[in-house]
Amino acid sequence: MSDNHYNSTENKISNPAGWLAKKCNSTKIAWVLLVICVFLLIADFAIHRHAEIGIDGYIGFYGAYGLIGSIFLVFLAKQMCKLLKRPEDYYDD
Amino acid sequence: MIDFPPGLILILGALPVPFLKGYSRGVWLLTLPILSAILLYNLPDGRHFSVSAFGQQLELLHVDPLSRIFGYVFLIAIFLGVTYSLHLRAAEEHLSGLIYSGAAIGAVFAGDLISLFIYWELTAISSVFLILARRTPEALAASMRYLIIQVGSGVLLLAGLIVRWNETGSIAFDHIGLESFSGVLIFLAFGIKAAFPLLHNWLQDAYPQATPTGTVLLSAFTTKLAIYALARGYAGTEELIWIGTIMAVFPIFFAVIENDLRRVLAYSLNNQLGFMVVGIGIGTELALNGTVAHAFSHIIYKALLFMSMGAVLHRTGTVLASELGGLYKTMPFTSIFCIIGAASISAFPLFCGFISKSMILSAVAHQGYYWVWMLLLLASAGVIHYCGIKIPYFAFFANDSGKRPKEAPLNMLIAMALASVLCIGIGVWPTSLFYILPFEVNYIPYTDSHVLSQIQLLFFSALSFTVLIKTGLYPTQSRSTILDTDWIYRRLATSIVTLAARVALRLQSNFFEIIVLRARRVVDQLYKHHGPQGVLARTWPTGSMVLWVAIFLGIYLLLYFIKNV
Repeated sequence: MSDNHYNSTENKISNPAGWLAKKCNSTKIAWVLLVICVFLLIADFAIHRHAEIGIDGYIGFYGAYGLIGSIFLVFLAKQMCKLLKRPEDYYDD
Repeated sequence: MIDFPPGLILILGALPVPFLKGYSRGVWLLTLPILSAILLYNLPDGRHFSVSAFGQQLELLHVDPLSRIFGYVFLIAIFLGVTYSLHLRAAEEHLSGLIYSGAAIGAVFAGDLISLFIYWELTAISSVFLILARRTPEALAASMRYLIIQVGSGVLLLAGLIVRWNETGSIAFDHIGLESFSGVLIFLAFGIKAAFPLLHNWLQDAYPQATPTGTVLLSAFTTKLAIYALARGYAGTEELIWIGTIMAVFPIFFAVIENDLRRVLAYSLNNQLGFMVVGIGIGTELALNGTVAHAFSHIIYKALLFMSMGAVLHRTGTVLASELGGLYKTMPFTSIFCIIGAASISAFPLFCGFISKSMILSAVAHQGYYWVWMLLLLASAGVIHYCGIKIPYFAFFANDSGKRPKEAPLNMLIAMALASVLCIGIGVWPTSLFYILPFEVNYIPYTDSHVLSQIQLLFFSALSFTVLIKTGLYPTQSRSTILDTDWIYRRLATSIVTLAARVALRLQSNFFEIIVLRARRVVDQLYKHHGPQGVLARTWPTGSMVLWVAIFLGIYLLLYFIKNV
């Protein structure tokens, strides 16, 4: 493994981090994503939904479930951190 | 055509591997899976190869649509795995990889429980070398824990098969069910390998410790062999629906906070197995087709994801999210392949995961398990979050780590490209996969409504990820250990043993102290009463004894004289 270990410091200047690393560009991506999401919501009115269990027939169900569900799970995971997170060398005695 | 078990071709073919070097070994390694696949393709359904042992007829080659499709996908996996590891000079991983895959394929075609057991244990023993080959103390410790648990699963299987043999007089491997005691034992054996909740942690413990190439193989065989075994033995067992639902949901939380990206993948592997287990529990033709299709696509996209992270590990020496970032600049191909794998696991339309996961979800809804459906949908939203975005984001984008590694070796890129082609190929032409599923398929994955639903779910989850990252609410990735059930045997059990040992030592020393003290007290008492200054020593018992002896002797002398007079 060690012979593949790549020392990076020298290349840092000649090879800049690129377009994505700039903060303003990542904000742009977030806006594009938001616009796509709005269009997807509008599409709900255009396409007849074949509901699988009933509740998913409501307009915006999948979007709301995806958004709220994943925020919920990240917050719960953060609470779990407090209980379960230990230093890296926890098991090394 | 020759009726020979395809698994044995790989196992026997592994034997000359240590003696082959360079290109000749590469050609040999790539030929074996192709040869096995041709053989399997030409085998008709039925039982083809049996040997007598243990007073039983062992069926080593039971081909039916269920075993055939698992055979094919295992052969694809070993072909990908071998391609990915062609750069290795040492033979040990090639050797153990071939035996491991051969054992898994052998187990899939086992028509009876005894040969299943033999192959079951062989997968455990051969695969441990893929972890040991990492040659770190952590890997050594993890491999021993892995081996104990895997062999333990085999022992349960053996116990179950002996009880079953006694109960029914048959060792055939077909539907088992949970009605009998032997059924429960075998169910637990399968459950350990399938990483059921609370029996799961060997997976997240051992897989991230294996070599970059080893994890790719490990991710394919052991757990999917268990899925196959469950599908054959326990289809329609309702308990599996609940077990699978828990399995699909709980690993997500761990995956969100875990820093080691290969461990994140191990948690996501566990979560995907949950979907398959639910499908087996539902047990309808659509559900079983969905399970098998999901196992098929899962093996390919999970191997692809592990390959991309393996390439990162190979080039940078780490897969910790906190240490990586910005690698897309110098590893562009690996980044693209990783994104294809991520899109597949997230079930993005036109990628393989979309087809197979949809089948399971539809089957769940058709049978009226609405809560299960809601939870599986939450798990799907979670997958895009912690795996679909997290893995590529933290490895290749995120904050620039300053690391500028070389692109992955050519053979790794070829393996990833092949897996990517398969992921997209199945996604675009699902009928190619439907054609080899065990039951006839009347399922149309691409309807407007369904595609829109899935895209909405994915994009809104992605939006929430972006918002959480931008607002700094996303849990920071830092070097840490996340406790899981392995804490029970790595910390709790060792603490109990240490405590018990300490108590025993204390007791032991106390015990001796007490004994010595008592003995000394007895001696002291004796000395006090009978010693030179003792009360009882004032009149010596020997004195009185001599007196009495003298008296008796005197009487005796007197009587003697009287008699003689």
